[in-house]
Amino acid sequence: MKRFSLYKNNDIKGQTLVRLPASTYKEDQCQILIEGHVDMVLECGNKPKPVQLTISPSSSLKLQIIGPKTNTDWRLKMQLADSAIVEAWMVDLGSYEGQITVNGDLKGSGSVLDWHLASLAHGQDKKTYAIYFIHDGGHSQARMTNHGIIEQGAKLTFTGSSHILKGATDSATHQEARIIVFDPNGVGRADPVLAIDENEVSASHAATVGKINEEHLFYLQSRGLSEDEARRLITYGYLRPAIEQFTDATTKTRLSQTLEARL
Amino acid sequence: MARLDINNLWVQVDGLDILKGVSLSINSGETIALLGPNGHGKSTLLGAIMGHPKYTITQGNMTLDGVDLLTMSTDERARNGLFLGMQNPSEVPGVINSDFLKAAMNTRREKPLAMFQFYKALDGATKTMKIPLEMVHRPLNEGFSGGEKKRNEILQLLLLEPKLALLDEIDSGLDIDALAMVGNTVASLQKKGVGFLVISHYARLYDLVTPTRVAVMIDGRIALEGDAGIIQRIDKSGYEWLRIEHGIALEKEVVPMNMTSIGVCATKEKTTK
Repeated sequence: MKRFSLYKNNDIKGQTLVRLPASTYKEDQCQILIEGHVDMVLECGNKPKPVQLTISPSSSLKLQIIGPKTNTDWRLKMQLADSAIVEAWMVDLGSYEGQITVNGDLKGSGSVLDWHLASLAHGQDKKTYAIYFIHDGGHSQARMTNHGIIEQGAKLTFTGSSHILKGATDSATHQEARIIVFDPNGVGRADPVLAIDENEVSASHAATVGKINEEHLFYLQSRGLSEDEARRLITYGYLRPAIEQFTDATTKTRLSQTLEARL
Repeated sequence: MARLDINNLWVQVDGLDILKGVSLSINSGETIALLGPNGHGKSTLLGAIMGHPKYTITQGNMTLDGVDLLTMSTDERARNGLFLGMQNPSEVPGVINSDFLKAAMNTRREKPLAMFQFYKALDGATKTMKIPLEMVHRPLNEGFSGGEKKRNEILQLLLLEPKLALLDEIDSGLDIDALAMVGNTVASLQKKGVGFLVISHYARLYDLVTPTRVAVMIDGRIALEGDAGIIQRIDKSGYEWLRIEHGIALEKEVVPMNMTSIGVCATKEKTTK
């Protein structure tokens, strides 16, 4: 698997793993054209520049994103052509205050966008995610899954908007947001929005913001784990599935270690 | 040796008395069968012993080896030797079974288990329970069948080696082979001196675990105690003989409904022209 840092705009083809150390950006916006089947890691690092991905017809992208490390805003745009497929996993364990904005434009007919976010907000963190999907092409499908954990007074907001435009017939869009708030001073908010301008479509959303499941906690404690150990295990278990989706073993290990350290 | 003493225990759920003065003692090496009709408080007793937060103790006390159990958190009770094999074990998403098992085993040790020690113990226990090793690498109880969940409970019982184990309908959902395995596991732990309080509706489990005593719970109280003959009697004739021979009322106390109004029903008058 080829690895390189991105210094300027690139066309990515074939099986390629791209590391994107944000601190080395030279352009205001990184534009990447995806052709064929691409496996890519975007690492936001510090002060990342916006990224625009264009996914060519019948191409597929497995996108793995490592969230920012320090205070910042960041924008990711994805434009999907006919029959383009994107499977995106974002793991955000950074300690920062800022907004991540994601635009998914399902322009092409039959395009598919499958988005998953796992975010940990801890202490002074104030993280906002604004994720907008627009279905322009007919038979397009999108799924948005945002999972978050709030610890020690942090703030976490998920805003998800899915818009099916007139003409995007037989499209389907689904959103799920789940936030577990571990302490009473934490603030969690999930705002799902569906806008439907076409008939014959499928759309749904589900959002839960709440305390840890008491039955889960009791089960683990009944085996001798202290409340802190039980919470740690549940948090790790909640965020770990997204880390498991990273293709690169080194990155996976690094993220697991970061999560362990933050817990 | 361990001894659990329950004295005049009263327990409420949502302000309603479920247990109404339960007194019972269990010693190491003893196996007590707890029977009773559905909904009369058997599972509540086990949950209250383990410290489930939904149960409020309003009267009475419990001690484990003379130490007040009510001052201990659930995890302290577990670390002091209690184990609850649950009727409906929770599915905990994302938490890998083996990570959980290792963490639970380490809570009972001063020095954490080395990886090879853990896998040796796990290998032995999974072979005893005929659980595929693959199952312990899946998220805890998530997607497990009813029988798999119960096997996983017994696997934990084997690995955690408690002093006293409370088993709540551990036989439900188990096939005949798995039931025999549960029987064998309990028998092997009985030989090591582990005490058991076992809830089941079926004599076939009790045939395998050979109780030393039997207690029957009716309407939140221990209505009758005796030997294993009670199990055969209940298995054959149900509970009605308790009323006839012992004058025990089998009906639960009826709590009157709250007569608070929930509002006025609005109706639209039909108009005719």
